[in-house]
Amino acid sequence: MTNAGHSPLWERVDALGVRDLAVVGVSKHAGKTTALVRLIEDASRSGRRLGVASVGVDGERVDSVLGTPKPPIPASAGGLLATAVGAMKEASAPVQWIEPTGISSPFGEVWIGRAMAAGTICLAGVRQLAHLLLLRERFHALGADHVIYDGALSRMIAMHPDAVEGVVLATGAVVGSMEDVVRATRQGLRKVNIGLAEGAVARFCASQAGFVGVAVAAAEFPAVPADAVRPDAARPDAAEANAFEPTAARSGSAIPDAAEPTAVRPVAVRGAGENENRTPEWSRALLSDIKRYPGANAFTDDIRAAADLTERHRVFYYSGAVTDAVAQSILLRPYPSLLVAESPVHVFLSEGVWRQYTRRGHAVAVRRSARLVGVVVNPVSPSGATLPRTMLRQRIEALTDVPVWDVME
Amino acid sequence: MRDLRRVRPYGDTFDDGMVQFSFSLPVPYGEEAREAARQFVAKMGVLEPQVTYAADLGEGMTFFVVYGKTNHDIDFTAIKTPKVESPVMDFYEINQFIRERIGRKIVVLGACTGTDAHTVGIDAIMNMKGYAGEYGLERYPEIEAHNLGSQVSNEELVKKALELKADAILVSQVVTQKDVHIPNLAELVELLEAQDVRNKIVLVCGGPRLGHELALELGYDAGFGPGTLAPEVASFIVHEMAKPAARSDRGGKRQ
Repeated sequence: MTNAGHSPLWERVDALGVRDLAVVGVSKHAGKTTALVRLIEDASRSGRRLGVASVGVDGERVDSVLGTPKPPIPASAGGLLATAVGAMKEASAPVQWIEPTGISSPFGEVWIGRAMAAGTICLAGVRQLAHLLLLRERFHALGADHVIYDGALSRMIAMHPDAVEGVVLATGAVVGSMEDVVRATRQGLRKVNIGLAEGAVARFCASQAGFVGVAVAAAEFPAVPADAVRPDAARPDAAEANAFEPTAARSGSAIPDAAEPTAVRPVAVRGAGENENRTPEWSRALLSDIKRYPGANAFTDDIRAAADLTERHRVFYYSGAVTDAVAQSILLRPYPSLLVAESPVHVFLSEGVWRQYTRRGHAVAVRRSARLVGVVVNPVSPSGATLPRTMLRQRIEALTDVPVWDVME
Repeated sequence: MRDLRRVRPYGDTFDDGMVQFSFSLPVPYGEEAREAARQFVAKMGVLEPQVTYAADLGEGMTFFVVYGKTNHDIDFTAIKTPKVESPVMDFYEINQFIRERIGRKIVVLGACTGTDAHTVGIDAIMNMKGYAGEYGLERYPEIEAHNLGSQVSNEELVKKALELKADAILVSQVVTQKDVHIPNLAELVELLEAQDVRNKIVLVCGGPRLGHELALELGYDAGFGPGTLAPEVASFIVHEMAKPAARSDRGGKRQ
């Protein structure tokens, strides 16, 4: 990276020490692509080498749902991209295709390429977290300073903390009236800003100690029971393929050995065998007892069915999707509880259940999350509706302490 | 030989540009309503709009059929749409492929999710009797097919997928309002990702408003439109299952 040109977005990224980031929206057409374009253009001026991919389809001339025109995605000479080669037919940037990724799609296989000159690009074919992890590794190996993932529709997977360190949240007039935009943005921010378990568990234990008179206990539920999904034996090269399973690629640490009960690792370990020892060391010191349910499925097993949980079990570690059903299974417990999800992308609580849940004194925390870099607002919707831009920015600024940028300025 | 670079609608003769619209307006039936419909279509840039049919729907609503002409044309030769690359096999070839390349029965779940109760699409793919002369997946000896029916919640679908160790999930969305099928389809993908099983399941959606491009945007592996038959879907699933997972070595073929 060379000297930075003036770009509030990139200056904020640098200030936070964020390397890779995702742009996600509170709804479709919230301004994600416009924000991505701004990031690419500003990066080009400051000499940053980017690796860019989208979990949706970006750079196509018209939107696949609304049929409205979409902004072209620029690439500067030397910029890296990952896309299905077949999607680049309408793009103008000449691209040197460097390596295939093995990611297949109806547009053809996804390749990593380097733009040989400035022009437009089309991004398609990348759609899974596993793809993002693979590409992140390859982009950096090929010399990218930053990786940027563009989200799609209302999908949040691009901001998985294993894929990126920072997230830009896009919101705008497409949502509806000013009040609609504020409401949707507040919900989006609430999800992105769920507190980290690191502090939340300590605070929770401290708050409970006086009432209970004994230490708080916890229960852990894995994402998937060990035998829930077939092994990849059907795949012809399962052993090699598994080398790129998310866990190995993202955490850089070995999967804990279930036979070693003391080998507690600090978070970030998923996959086969993950069901053991998910509570970090620091939490274990605070929690008097940790019950594990390695055979349970956090997604479907009701906590109430775990008969051996006592009233002291008030911290629940859930590795999988935290849905309304999960929250409702805790809701009626007579004492306050702390539900710890893996990350914000694992939290699927509806507005109503979340409100009900927190009003009863329960709380939610996450083990890890990508840092919120800022919020971009788009006062113009694709249908032509416009909101007062100054007021829009001020209303969104009132919701958060991170910078808010008008993407059209 | 017609010029496919300048294709225009066909009504009575080639290139007459005739098009037909049908829609309702929330206005009471009458001559003013007919004129409103005519002006509305004219505002869309359509030439010579003629209201050929109007019907009183009651409640102050009127239904119209309007004809008109358009000068626009399409370059058919420049159109490229994404397609699945895997070849379509027949019933016998698919079962043989599963025996030889996968080595066990595969588990396929099908469901109409969310508020959608229209199972015509998923039934055509899944039910034993099939559709249009093609058996459905339930008839395939090497496929363990589970049709969960209509109005299945995403949570229920994921629960079943984990219980049955699904290899593939087919989601049908036929009739939904206000594009609710889009967040509904996206939520299923996000749930599977959160459960850490997305990359172990072939995920396919289908319906009249779905194609491969929207499917990709939603995080699905493919999206099949109306008229798709069971062998097309089954061929795609088994070829996807037989592919190596995404990898970062240079083993892939160069295009």
